[in-house]
Amino acid sequence: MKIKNTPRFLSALCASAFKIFLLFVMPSHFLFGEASAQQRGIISGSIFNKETNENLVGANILLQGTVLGTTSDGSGNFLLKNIHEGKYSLAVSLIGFHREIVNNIFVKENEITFVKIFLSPTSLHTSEVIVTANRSPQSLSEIPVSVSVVDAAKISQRNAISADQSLRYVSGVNVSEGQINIRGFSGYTKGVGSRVLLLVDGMPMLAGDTQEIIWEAIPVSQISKIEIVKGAGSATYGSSALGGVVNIITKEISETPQTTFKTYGGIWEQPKYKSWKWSSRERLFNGVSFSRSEKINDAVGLFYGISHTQDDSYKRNDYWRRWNIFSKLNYTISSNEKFIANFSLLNQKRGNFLYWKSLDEALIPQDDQLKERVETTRMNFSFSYNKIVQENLSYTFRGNFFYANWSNIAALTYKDSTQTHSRSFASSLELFYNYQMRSQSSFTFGVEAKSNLIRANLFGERNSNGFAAFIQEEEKFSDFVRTTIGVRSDFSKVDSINAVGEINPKAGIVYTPTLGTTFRASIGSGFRAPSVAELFIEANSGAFNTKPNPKLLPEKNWSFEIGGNQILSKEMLFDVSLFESEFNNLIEPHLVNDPNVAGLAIRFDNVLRARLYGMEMSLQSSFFENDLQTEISFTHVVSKDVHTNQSLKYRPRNLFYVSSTVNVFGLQLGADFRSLSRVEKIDDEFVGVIPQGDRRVPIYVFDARVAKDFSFVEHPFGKNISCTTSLQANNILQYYYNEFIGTIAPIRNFVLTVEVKM
Amino acid sequence: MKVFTFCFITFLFGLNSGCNHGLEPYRETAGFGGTIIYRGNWPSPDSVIIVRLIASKISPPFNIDTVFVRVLRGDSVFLFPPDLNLIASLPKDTTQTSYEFFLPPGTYKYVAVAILVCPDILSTQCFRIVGVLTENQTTFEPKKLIVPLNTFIRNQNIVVDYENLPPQPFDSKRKK
Repeated sequence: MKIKNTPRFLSALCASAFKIFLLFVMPSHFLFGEASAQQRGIISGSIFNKETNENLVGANILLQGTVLGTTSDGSGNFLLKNIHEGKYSLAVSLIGFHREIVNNIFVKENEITFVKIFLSPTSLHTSEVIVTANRSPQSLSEIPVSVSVVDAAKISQRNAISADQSLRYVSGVNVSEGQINIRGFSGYTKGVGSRVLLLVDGMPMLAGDTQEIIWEAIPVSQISKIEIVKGAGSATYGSSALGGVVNIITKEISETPQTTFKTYGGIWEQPKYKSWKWSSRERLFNGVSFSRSEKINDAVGLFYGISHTQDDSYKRNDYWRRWNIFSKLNYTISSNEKFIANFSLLNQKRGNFLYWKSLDEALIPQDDQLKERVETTRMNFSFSYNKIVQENLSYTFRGNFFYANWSNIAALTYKDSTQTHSRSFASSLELFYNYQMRSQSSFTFGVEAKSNLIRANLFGERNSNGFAAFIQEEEKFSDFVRTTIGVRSDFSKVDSINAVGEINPKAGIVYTPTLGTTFRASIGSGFRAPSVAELFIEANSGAFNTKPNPKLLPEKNWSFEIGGNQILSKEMLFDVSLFESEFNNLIEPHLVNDPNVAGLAIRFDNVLRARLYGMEMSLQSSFFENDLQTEISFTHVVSKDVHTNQSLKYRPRNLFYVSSTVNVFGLQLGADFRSLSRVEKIDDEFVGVIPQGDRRVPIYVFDARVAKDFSFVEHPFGKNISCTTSLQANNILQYYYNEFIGTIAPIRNFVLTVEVKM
Repeated sequence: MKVFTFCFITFLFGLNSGCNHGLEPYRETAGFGGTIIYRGNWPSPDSVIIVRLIASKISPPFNIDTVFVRVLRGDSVFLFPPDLNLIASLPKDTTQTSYEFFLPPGTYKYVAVAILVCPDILSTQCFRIVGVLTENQTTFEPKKLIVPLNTFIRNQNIVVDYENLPPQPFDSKRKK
């Protein structure tokens, strides 16, 4: 099947991009002039570790009161150009160090001002720079909502094969079968209609047809860090962000050429129970990846790589084989202009395990699922062009194009076809400005256009389009108080259904009475337009039938949060939040009495007025000069259908996570534990279809690992080589649990990983 | 000291879950289940005393007296809910009900939903068969349901359409 209208669609999209560029970008050149056209002052500096005097690479440097900023290079140096004469402050931050504000830096025209900045090490994450919450770089302690960060080290330590696996120990986050749920906002819909918006470098990346997150399309080795913003984010990012935002930040191009080779191999242990054993041979999983990061010249940098991963799986017909190709181009056009492009391609073949045959044969699916296989191709291209027009004004023009094609052979049937398939092409373009009006006040404003083109036998031939405009202001009233207000207006139209318009405001305040104490409060509204899948899906099988509902309305919510954090001593940071969210028209799958179908009919309906409230606490600690680090978090969520007073489906009430690492004898030992309370409510009607579908238990999972770093300074290639070897044991206590009805979550497995960097 | 602290934290994890292995295999009890879907308007609440499922290894027509003997003997005709009183009933005045009917393995030639409209349980006038388990919805031909040993068969949905009731299975010698 071909997307017949693709050329016409692409030309329309290009025309829209050109119009956006003409309307919004060009005037700024005439209004504000070119920064580079004038001779101004320069700040040149070096960043050092205060304790060891070593140069620090990758520190974020922001010139306060302007939009100028940079990062320190491979020698720990940085350069800020085109600065008006005057007195400035620099804010410098780096993961693992206290944030430093350097005041009284005098800049004169045509002169270079030199500064040396020393950062004190800490393992408490208070000074990290976050870009997701307000579309501009901010310190974690300046943000009025709860934010968590997973850095590359944590992803690497846990040998995450897909990005969602690295989110399993983030406070308040629950990942069920790949579907992310932040503070109970989502139930379980097999990913359809995600209430968490996934961004890659700030650009949305949800499948056009189902609006679900495709984790496997994101190459893990390209991830620098993951930012998780909790609470409604629609005032900044629009639809789908009503339950939070996950922003995956890709790695910067390294200053010196770097080649990384990683391989891993693992084994699933045979299940403890005889009746669950279905394979006489060992079930294995393995992968290999290669990537290289290098600067071609002073202006152009490249990152590219390829990986192949496969898993036999511990469940029958749950195997997968996956190829990922990825690249990133970084082109520094001038000191004020930067162009970045990302490309990724996924090809995957896998089986399909929907639910077990019975709890007596829990690792074997129903007979009709044994024949199913799913083939997937996903391709993503994104670009970002950033220009500093003046020292107090910059704009970013960026776009994302996500092509997805999947087919499920011998799956749910549509009419007489035994194969379901879908092709979708999701695209978005956005332009936004960061404007520093005066030293205490900054604005971010912009426009966004989205389009989806879908050709699928499950959903039909559908188009959807959207347009949005947004503005927000951050105001620093004093050294103690900082506020954020913003509003976003969205207009969207799906196929022939009436267009809908949404306006979502937000407001937040951060109060820092003393160094080490921060209070925050925020309120915001969110919405999610129904996906094409929820509106139009029509399929049937023996047990389940899905029916379309073109009358679905967008779901909406209001979220509130108050919280704060306190550095208890040099070694401990405590954070607490209270949150509440009120939903209207919540979209949930619903069983309906359809006279035209023999089995059960599932339809997405606006069925609920719902309320969520709860609290979240976390404690980070670091002792013995950072050799022993521990993070503990506890989240309690109460979810209720306001009409029936019953709990919402598939939401655990309590989440308790502990992670600890210790460096000893040249080894790094690590252990993670997570406990989630038993889900109170599920789809009772499924019990009539899935044998023992109501069987579920609390979740207790304990993972442990040991890692060793080797470095070789001299070797035949004449370069430094670092090698990390790790051995992991996951679900070490062989605890059997399910994240969704009728399927056993990963059982005990062992993984050996070797990563070489040269 | 740091190793001790790490080990202590690790031990606490294990203590929390070490003795519990979560889900375990479960061997099924023979039976079948699914959803009863009701269409049309229910009779007035006063006129429906109880709603029961009936599963019979023998084919209709039935003699009501013989049926009750077989129910009491528990060899070939079974009721759900199984209690022999005028209280135990499936939910009334609803649009759908899930059910799980556990009974001895065997071949069941007639599975139906019955309502009792008056208290005389030995009168065919008081019984109405309102829905029958069929192969498809275009016919009232009863489905032959085989329930093997240790197997629970799911997704056996029965449609009750009060606007279109199935033929009554009682023979002409029924008690008036």
